[in-house]
Amino acid sequence: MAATTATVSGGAHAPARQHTGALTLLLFILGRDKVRFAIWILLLVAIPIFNAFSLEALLPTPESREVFAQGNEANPVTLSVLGPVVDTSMQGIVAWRSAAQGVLVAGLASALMVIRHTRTEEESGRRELISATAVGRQAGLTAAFAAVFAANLVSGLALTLLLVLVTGYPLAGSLLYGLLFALIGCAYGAAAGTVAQLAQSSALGRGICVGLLAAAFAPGIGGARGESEWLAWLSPIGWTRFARVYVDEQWWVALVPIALTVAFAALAYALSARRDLGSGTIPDRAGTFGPPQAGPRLRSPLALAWRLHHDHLLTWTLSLTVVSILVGWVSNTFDDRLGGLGVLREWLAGLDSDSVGDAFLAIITFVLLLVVGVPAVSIPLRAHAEEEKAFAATLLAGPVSRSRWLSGHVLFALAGPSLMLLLVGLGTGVPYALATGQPEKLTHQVGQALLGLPAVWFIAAVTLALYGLVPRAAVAVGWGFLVVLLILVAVGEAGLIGRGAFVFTPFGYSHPMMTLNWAAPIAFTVLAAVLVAAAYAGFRRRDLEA
Amino acid sequence: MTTAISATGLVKTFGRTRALDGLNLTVTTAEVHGYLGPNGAGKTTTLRILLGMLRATSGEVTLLGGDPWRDAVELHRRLVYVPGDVTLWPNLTGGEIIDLLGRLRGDLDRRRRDELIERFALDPRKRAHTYSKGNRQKVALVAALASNAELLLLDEPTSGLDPLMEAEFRKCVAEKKHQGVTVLLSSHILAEVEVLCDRVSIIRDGRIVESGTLEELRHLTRTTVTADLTGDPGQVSGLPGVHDARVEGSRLHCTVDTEHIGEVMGRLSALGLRGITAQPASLEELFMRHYQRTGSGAETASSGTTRGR
Repeated sequence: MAATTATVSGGAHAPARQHTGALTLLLFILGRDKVRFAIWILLLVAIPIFNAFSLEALLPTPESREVFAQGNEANPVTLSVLGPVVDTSMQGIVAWRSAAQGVLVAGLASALMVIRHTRTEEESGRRELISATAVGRQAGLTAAFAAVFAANLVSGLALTLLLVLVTGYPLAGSLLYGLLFALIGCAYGAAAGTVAQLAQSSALGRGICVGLLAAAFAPGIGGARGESEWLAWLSPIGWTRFARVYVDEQWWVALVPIALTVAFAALAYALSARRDLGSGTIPDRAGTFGPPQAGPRLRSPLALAWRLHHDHLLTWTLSLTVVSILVGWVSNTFDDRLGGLGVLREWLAGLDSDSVGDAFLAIITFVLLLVVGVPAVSIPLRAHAEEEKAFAATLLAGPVSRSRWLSGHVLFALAGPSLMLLLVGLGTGVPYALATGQPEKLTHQVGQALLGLPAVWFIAAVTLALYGLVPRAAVAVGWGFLVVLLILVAVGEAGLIGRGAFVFTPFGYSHPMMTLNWAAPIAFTVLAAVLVAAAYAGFRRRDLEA
Repeated sequence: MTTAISATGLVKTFGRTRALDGLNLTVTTAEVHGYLGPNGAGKTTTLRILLGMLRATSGEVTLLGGDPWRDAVELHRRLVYVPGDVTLWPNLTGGEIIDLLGRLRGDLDRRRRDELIERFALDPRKRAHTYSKGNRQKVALVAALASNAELLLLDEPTSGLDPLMEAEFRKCVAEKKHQGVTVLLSSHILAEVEVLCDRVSIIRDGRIVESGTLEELRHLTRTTVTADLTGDPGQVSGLPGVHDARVEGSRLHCTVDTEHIGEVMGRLSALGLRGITAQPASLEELFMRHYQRTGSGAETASSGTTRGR
């Protein structure tokens, strides 16, 4: 008896035993996800290198870079997202341009990876299996942290090496720049470790992490410049600027993400040591009890699909509507604040807009269209999840045809993003029309937003067709396709592909820079219809996955 | 006597894996048919083909007179399925799921549903994510048993149920059988099979290796005999149908093919029988013999009996 007590208390107080087995788990994580880690590292190093080549072609002389920096000062969108240009040297511009993208990649990859190896494992019951072996309570968390921290350091160092060796930028600045991305990634990974202890489901955990990442843009949009510059300290994008890479490197700025990493990791460990397996303080599920009988409407696959989709749809629709209304409201003020700037006039000429407000709204509407691309992939993938979890089989074992089952998901996959675009148009248009006193602004905004319909239908249809024909590839290829389309936007904006080609990409034809060619939206609508038909044909013919 | 399910030469391949390898299966209307076999033998694959969820690579399948792939929707109105690993929408309650499935089939009988919920002691107000494995199984069982379907496809339906609920399940199946419902029951629980099934089919490596009533299957096995004789026990060991003979003084131990048991008994009495015990093969021995993966059936049967002693 005495011996047992000694072992138990010894176990609880010996910190080393809390991590027993972490190394084995770490190797397991690295092996399981080697492709994901490789893509993450490649993406992180590719972005600044791509920017270096495209910007060097675009802004070859110091004068052109000077003009570019002034133009940025007058452009409310890039100023909000990227902040002011610190240094107009080539490497300074590249560092400025890549900052937000690098933070997004490192932050998102780190956070999602940590959630994937903590809360997702717990939710699926796999952690229970692992925990029952001779593995310490904190080993899973330690392994996830170790894997993500290692991947960040590797990607940061790889970036430094490439900047020095390929583009020939100075070592000190390149080292600090790579290090910053690595440490910011670590901070997001550590924060995700804390989120994983709190959020009851991995989906909720991922949502919170995406929110934390979006928060990095809040200070910039909230006006962190001039006297309010200090606000940018609240954003990792700001840290990359305050570090003054390639000017006079402020190495101590790196202490900020280090401190956050330590703090979040400590918090994660403290929470993890105190909570029960499977528990979470932020609930994501309806309570234990519900109706003992189904309501009168729950009688068809469509009704069930609505039940499964409505939380996701509602969250997206509400968030987009709120953002649209805010944007529509502030757009009118840009005329007063920035209307007098000569550089801005020049810059606007390329956009074919009457006023700064119009131009700002056109750009934001386009950005919101890109955002709606995300639910256009995630909603159709719900069908895949339903099949994988064998929920589809439960319905299809009843008198429900494959087509009828699929139709519920197809409906929401097409109608959901459509509704979101309509609300983007109304949300931006109504307050803007009210503020400017020009009612035609409303119809213009709605028209502008709805012009994106063929694009989101096409994206949703590609995902549906993938699901119907090659379900195992649907998740990876569906998201990959969206990423390719977003890269095409960057490539098109940088002028690396001709306008004649860019206008025939889903996000190209409605780009504010482009003159609309109606052939493109019509073609994408037709293609979407063909792809949806292919989805049905494929799904009717193939074996169920589970 | 009509046929509810008939499969001939059924083959299903997944890449290089041959899950079903020329399977022949016949289930007669209104019988309870046990479907047995080791894990991974192809039981669930067979059921999923019968449900039109998988398409057979080759071979013929008829279910209730229709093609399970082509006529899935019409056939599914007449059958219900209970999977071995029930997954349920986490945010729906058990009651909601039972009602949804019943309404889809179009034969939700509220009185029967409530009665079954009572019998299986299920709390229909709880959301599915709070149910244990056994309780999830009960949701699927209630939904299936509340229907008026003429065919039940049950894939290890009692896994996770406690013995009390298992007994309740047996009663329910017996009732269904009484009403003339056909049942295909995949199970590993031999007592369940022994009590419920009229006929059984045993699948191994994607083929049916034995099919028939339990009596018929028992017939294929041997009876273990121990006899105390006044005469020379050695004379018996050479007789046809006698195996594993071992003599200890006046006592003879052997196993006898069921078809030869009469003659052997005759010879034993002629040799002056002082005492005898004869044990038919237990169901367990019967299945163990078929579940053995190595060697042919006959070899494993004799090695099984040898080990038994």
